[in-house]
Amino acid sequence: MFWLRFALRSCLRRRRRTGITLLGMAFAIGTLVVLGAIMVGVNDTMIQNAVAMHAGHVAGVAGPMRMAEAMRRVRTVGEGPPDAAVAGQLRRCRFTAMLQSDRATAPTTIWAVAPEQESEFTPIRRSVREGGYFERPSDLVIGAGCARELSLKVGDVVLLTTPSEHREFRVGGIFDTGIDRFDAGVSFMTLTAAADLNEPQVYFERAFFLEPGSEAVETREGIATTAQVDERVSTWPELLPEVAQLVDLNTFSMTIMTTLVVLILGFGVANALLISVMDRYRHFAVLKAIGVRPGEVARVILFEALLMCLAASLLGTGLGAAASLVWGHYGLDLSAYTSSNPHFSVNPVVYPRLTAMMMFAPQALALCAAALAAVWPAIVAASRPVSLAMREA
Amino acid sequence: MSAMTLKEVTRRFVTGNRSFPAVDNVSLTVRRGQRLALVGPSGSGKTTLLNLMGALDRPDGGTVQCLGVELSTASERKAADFRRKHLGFVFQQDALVPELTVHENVELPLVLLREDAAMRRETVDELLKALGLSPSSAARSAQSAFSEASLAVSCCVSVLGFRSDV
Repeated sequence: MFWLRFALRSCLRRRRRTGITLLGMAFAIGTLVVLGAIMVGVNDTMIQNAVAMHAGHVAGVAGPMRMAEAMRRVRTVGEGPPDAAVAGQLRRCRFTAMLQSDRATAPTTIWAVAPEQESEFTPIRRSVREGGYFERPSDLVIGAGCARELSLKVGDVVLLTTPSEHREFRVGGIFDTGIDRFDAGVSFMTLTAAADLNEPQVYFERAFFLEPGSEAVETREGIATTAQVDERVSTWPELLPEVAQLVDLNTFSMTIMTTLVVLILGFGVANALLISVMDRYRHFAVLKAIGVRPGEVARVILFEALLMCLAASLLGTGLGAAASLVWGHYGLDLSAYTSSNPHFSVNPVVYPRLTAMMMFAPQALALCAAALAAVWPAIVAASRPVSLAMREA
Repeated sequence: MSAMTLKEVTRRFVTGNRSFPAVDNVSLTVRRGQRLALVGPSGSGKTTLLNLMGALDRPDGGTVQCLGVELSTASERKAADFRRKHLGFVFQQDALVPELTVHENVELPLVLLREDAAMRRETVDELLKALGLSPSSAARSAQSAFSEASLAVSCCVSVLGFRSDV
């Protein structure tokens, strides 16, 4: 306790040097907190965009089965979220078909959906560029790529062909998500319209959308226990490995950046402490002359580093968290940099989000860096011979 | 009974390529309670010899024994513990620790010896009173203490070898 108080007074006595070092450390820690929040926000946006276009954070798929059985499951699957982490659940039927216009034919995957529920979680309604989103329940909503290929416009009639039947549908809307594969190969109809079809190869799907920060893997376990025997439950990283890899890559880049910042911080602390120690050779020599052990001198230097780092952590984390919260409230529009990126085509706005990991990891790393940075100055202070230090003073 | 014995002690310093002895083959015995003055011209090695006797430096040759403890080969920690318990110093220049108040500077050797707080306060107050330092002066930081007080306290810190055996 005595040496801790001694270290504190030592820091306070050299206010300017301590202040400059502390501000530098606080800036580094604050920057890491903000960058970490942006990284989490970018990951959130990429994941949200990807899962909204596909099958949610967790997907259950059963089939193939006849349309009647799929519809029965749509009606009988339990209402309401099965887990506190689940924000919502969409039930769909999926099958493949051919779309035929007067000029061409194109394969498509039909998703039969409940439009109102879909609008809550998926961006298709917002992506409709022509016509509407199921203003008439019997309409078909097709992608812009498909419309181009078949030379269709809103109001045209298209022939839907499955192995078991042919049925004409009116094109009620054309969406454009910016994802070519999706816009060319996916079409939507309502569950009501699909119920009239006699398609034998239908997949019943459930898409679970999770609350922010919830873990897909943990939630899958809960969902899997209540799933029907033939329902395969998967998480988004299993369904979208390319997005999972992008998230990992982003996290890896952030780790590299954090390491570099912490290293620079460590060198800064070591430099400031070393200069401080060199200024105090005589004082340490006096202390050692009256019986202070080398280890106790080293402890003073270590305490000085940790005290400065602790204060800098509090200041830096406070400022970084405040900046992240403000930025998270207003969002960060990356459309200028992501206009051609399919992972940001739905929503290019990133909302920096603070996580406990990204808030406290920089502090912990900075404390470790400061402790390591103090080793060299501490050794210099502890090992300087008393007689030499006295003679040089 | 001897308190300190130096046998054929040598301490050399190197300047550039040249090595010269500051203390050359000195043998000395100091009895308990004996008062001894080292007299000599500047650069004759008085401070070097005192550093060796105070376990602040190590000889290049010979042995230094104090109260039966071999100091010439003692580790830094052992030497520090020995100084803490048995030795007192009066430094040539003022030797206060600026992080501490004047009172705390005087108290420091007792803190290192883990003496009781009440005993420390009483002892230090008596000493400071004897030196004519007011409580307000003693409460000032050593950095701002005036030089006379510094010197006085410096002596007091060192000799505060109340329990100083040598």
